[in-house]
Order: sequence, then C-alpha cells, then structure tokens
Amino acid sequence: MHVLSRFASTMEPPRPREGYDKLISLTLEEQPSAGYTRQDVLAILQRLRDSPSVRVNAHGTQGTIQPPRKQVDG
Amino acid sequence: MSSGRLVRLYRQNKPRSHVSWYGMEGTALLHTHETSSQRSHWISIAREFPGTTVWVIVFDTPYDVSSNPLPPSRGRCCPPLIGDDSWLCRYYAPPPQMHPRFVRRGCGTVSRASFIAFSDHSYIDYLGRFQGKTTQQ
Repeated sequence: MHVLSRFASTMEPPRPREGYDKLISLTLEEQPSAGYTRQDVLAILQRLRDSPSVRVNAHGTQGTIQPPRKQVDG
Repeated sequence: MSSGRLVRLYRQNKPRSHVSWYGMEGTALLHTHETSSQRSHWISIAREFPGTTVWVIVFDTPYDVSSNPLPPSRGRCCPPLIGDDSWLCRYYAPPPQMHPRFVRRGCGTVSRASFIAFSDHSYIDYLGRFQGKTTQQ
C-alpha cells in the first residue's frame, strides 16, 4: 500500500505538449470487470483511432499531424 | 520496478526474486511511464520514424483499488497484454503461458491475456511502408 501510494504521488498525468498525437482515458467504470477480451481490446483501439488529435507543437498551439512520407521507388 | 529490470530479472531467472512473471514467484509492481520524462524517451524514439503516431491509453484506476484483493474474475486493475507473439518471443522464451498462480492472484493479476497482432489494429501507414520495403528487397 505504501509503495502504491508513493507511485500515486509521483504520477504526472500526460499533457498534450509531451508530443503524443492521441490520448484516451479509461475510467474504472469503463474498464471491463471480467478481464479484457479480444473484442474489448479492439474496441479500445478503435476508440483511440477515432479520437481527435491532441498534438501540440513547440509553440504551445495545436498542430497537425504530418502525413507519412511516401516510399520512393528505385 | 521498470520493465527493463523486470526483463533482466526474468532472464537471470532468479527463483526467489520479487517478481511474478509467468511462473516466477513474488509480486511485480510496474510503474513505467509515470512521469513526463519517462514518456518523452519513448516519444522521442517514435519520432525517429517519420509518420509514426503516438497514442496514449490512460488506465485511470485509483491506487487503492489495486490494494484490494479482487476475485479472480475481476482483473481490471491491470491493462491487458497486447502484443504480437513474435515480438513477445524476443523477450520471453519460451512464449508466455498463463501460469495458474498468475491467474489466481487477486491484486495485480491479469485474468485473461489478450494477444492482439499488429495487423488487428491496422497501423496501415506503418505496415504498408514496412511490408512494401520488405517486398522490394
């Protein structure tokens, strides 16, 4: 319990300026009580995929995700 | 305990280490990615691959929930195991099997492991480029 308490005290919630593109937060109620099935995991990933971009650039404003570079043949 | 240390302990196969990892005895407490600096390490690695997107899932669980014994059917205090068998095998040999004790434990157990292949969650951009590169060779 002490260790868990210490972990909780040092936890820093993610902030958009860290550079990630998408984030979802699953509350306790949103976490399946009987363990995760394959469908649960895929549903979470789909929810994450459908969530809006939250990426923030170095200037502190919301930016856009750069499309992946195309492979150059030859 | 960091995931790196957990892996090292597993490889060393210390029989009485305080690690519970597919058959080893004890308790494992993972607290990786809890600070911005820890997360920035992995985000920096992802940014080395142009076009890669970084997704974050926060399992917002009060820590006192993890301190309460849970019946075996309730494993929600831990995130599911997500990965590809081939990826996992690089780190854990033989491939992970759900040890009966691992399943039975209350706090900190994963009652069911869900192995999801990369193709299941369609990182189309990444996979397309990777597979295209592979076929060109």
